[in-house]
Amino acid sequence: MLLKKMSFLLFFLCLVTPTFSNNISVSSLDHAGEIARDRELREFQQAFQPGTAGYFAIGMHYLPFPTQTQLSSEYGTHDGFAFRHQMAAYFANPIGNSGYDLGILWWVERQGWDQEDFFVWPRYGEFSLVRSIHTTGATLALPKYHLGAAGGIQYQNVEKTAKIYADESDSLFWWGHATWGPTVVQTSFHEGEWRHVRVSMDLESKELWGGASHGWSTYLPNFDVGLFNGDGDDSLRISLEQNLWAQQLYAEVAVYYPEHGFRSAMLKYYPDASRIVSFDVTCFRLNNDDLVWGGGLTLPFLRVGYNHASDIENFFGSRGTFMIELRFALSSAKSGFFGLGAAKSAPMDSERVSKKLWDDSSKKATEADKKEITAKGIRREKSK
Amino acid sequence: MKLKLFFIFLFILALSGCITHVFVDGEVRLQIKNESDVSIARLVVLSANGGEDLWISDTIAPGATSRVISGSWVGSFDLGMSVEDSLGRTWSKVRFPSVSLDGGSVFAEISEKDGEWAFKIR
Repeated sequence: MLLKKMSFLLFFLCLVTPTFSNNISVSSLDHAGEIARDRELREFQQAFQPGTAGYFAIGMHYLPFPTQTQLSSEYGTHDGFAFRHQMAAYFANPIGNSGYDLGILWWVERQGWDQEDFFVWPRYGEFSLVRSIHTTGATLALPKYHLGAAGGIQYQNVEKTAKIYADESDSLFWWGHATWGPTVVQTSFHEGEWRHVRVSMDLESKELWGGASHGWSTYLPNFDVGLFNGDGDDSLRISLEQNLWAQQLYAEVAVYYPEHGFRSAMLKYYPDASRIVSFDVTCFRLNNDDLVWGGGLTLPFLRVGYNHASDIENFFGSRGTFMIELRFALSSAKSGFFGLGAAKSAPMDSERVSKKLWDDSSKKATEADKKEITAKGIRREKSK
Repeated sequence: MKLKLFFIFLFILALSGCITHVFVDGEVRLQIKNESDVSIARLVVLSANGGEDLWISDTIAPGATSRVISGSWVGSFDLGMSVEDSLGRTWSKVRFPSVSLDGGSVFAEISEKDGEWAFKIR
């Protein structure tokens, strides 16, 4: 019944969704590449905690109507489809008994705007922009001391860019990352010039990584400060995450300097501290100082949002339309499965139940073995 | 079973992402008919910064139709054209603001009444 209701809700959203949507601007598509570069490294930062065994994520936005994400250019309004297809994979394994974990990672996002929708092969139309950003590298961690280091390359491949967009070419960045306890330092370079430096402090105590399960230390804030090289026009992104209640209710605030000041605020409620499901209420400040209120719901295989701050920031400023994302993202460590940035792993009831059943059945089997079976006599049947 | 149905539903949703273009056309095949008493020429798409993109280069005599020319102009655009005098010189330029064009074949009639030009899609 619930699934029927959900299916109906999805179709309803699909039908009403194109009605009031806001157009996507050419400049927001121009800047989406650099935003994606930073997002991939920020996601990796959250995924790479010394002790993590792996992280896997896959997702695509489902926008069925060409009027949902129209493009505003100097010529007018173009019908078409903005798209973001993404995948992330990180696996780490212990090296013998040395205590070190060696890992590899690959984050990829294909994004842009095309005149027809597609899953693999774009149309590459006259006004299309198709680019992909790959972040790949290797990691080395020493979980016992909460130490970790990683490094690799980040490659942007411009598949198609039309005359309405700013000139853009393929580029290769180098990046490095180090973490020790709550502190993370991250940087990237392009042709010998630094592109970004990030310092973050996750002060909040998390049971998943050997911290407290409750108490004052779980209410410490998490800071993230990113400095970006704008060739003489540097900018700063500061974000803060604060546990408000039992590591299930969090507030997140992002501030940009020098251009925007306050950018977004989010209130996120996770029914379980493993962060696999969330309910969000968000507020995003536009360039003209207007505030856009929105919200969203994240489920294991689906995310629905309306005017969600992260959609406005990460999906080319798109708003006024329901965003449906088919997605899956899960981290794993020795203690179990969890979402990015979680404080605890998901309760694995199925494991406990199956173990109990197995114990019971094995007990019965041994009791049965003890019974003696004696033959009461031998009966011979005559053959006909 | 319900979960299986839900996954099939999700799969169809994902698949529809790559088959919608079978029904939604990403280009317009445009043909125009001149219903006015004077010759018209050069149908262009006007840009906000003063530029223009040529779409149909034909000069169309009164009552005549142009060739069918395809373009990637699905959406809403300002179109423009030239009105010619009897010697084939540009007499004036006409602007049709915010013309909505769907993908596929489009046949449009351009007419004039009391100095007002109209772009009607049939």
